[in-house]
Amino acid sequence: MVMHGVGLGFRKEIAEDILALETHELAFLELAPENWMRIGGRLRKLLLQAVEKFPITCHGLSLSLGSPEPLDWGFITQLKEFFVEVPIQVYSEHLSYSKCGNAHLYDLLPIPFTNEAVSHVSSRIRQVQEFLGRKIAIENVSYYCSVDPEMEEAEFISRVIKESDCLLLLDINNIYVNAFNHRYDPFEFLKKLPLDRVINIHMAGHEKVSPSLIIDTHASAIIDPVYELFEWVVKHIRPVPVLLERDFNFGDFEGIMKEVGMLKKIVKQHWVEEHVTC
Amino acid sequence: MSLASVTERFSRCCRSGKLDSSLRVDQERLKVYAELFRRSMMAVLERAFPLIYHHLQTNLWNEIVDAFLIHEDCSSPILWRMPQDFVLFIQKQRWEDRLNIPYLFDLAHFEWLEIEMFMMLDQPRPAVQRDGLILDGLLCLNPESRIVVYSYPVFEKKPLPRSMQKGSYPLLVFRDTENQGVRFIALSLFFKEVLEQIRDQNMSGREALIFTSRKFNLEEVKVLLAGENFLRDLLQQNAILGFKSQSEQHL
Repeated sequence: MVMHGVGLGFRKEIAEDILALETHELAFLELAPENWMRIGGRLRKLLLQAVEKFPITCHGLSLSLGSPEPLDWGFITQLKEFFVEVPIQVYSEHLSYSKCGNAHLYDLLPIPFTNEAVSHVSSRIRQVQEFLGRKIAIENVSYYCSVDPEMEEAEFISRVIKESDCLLLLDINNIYVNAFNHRYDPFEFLKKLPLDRVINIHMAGHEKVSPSLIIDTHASAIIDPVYELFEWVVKHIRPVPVLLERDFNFGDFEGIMKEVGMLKKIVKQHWVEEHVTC
Repeated sequence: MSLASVTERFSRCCRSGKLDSSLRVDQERLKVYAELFRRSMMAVLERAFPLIYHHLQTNLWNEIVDAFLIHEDCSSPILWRMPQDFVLFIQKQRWEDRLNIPYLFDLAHFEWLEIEMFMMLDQPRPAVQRDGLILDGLLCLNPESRIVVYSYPVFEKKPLPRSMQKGSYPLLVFRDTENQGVRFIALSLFFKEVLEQIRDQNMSGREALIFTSRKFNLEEVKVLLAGENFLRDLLQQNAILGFKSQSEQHL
């Protein structure tokens, strides 16, 4: 299965707008399985229409790879069932944790960049991959502080990928946000990552809330420096699916599709555009 | 410090909003996480419980939510299910007594019920005919429906009155077969019983009405007339799907 091109996050707020598009306007849709699994009614109908019309990738929220407690096998079993029902091209998760002390926080909390965390997270990824019978991709997350680190973020990500033999979902906005918040050069950071493991790319907007802090909001348009990073990446890796993530402020759907168009333009300049082939 | 200890302390800070100097981390940035966490949970709860949110004074709303974030371990990996934990928290911690708002739990339950019914898995829909004898046919209640009884009429008036009479207030909740929206029909205790007889005992409308009228000591003739109108109305609104086919009647 080879899939590339530009896709969009499937959110209920814009589901009907997305379903009204022609199939050639989006290469794929990405959805959070937690929002769509084990449901019925109107949203389920929208999901089935989406599956019928577009290839699907899944980007999870609650696997909580960095949690100290055991993996939630009940939840992972439900994921596996969902992936049978909704055939997906890629399943990715965040390199973070969202559950601690048996309490879900529904947020992406930063895993400390430590040797213990590399082993712990890698082992969990391997277990999930074995159970699902597929490789998963992990996303480099935005983080606002690192807790007592023993290594740099790029090394942490690289070692987890190597030890777990998983793939990388490269979130370029997160790299920009982290580089700004932690004052490093995003291009140098990119060069340290295993770019040959990139299976897909995320692009999004953010909000600068103070002179020294950007919050990763997915609520506004992508800014030019993030497009520049994207173009650099596109020049350095093989073609992969590129996703525009928008999680809030859906009012201007035309504006969202213009961003999709901008991403397509960059992709087209550097990669030979192909349609999804199965 | 071990990974388990770091993650536990970090998440505790997010939930409580209290910083922890034992964590070797930029405390200002830790505060950012705590604020983002609180803001996002507040937003989810405000959307899930708009009636409670608008009914309570801001300080009381904040007090409940903050206590919830600190003390209640959200059990589901699915975010849309999190409000159910909030309802259970209100019940367990007896917030209706603490805030002297006796209808608070009912209100929270009512708001959660709408979410739960909207999201619930599609239920198998039995084969039915739309035409039939309303009193003598076997009626099929919408399988995506529920009958609940509240102690306060939290579903009756908007804006909510500040005081409500305690009693028994039955409510039929169902997902519309046409547009999948969630609809509510207030019931009398009498018609609640009638619907339960139809649903659970496989009685015809007439049998259920007569059975219930005897239980409630009501005049059968009047009950049959009112009952016929009531059942026709439910059929029109898709709360009753139709008349069971021959094969369904024996199930």
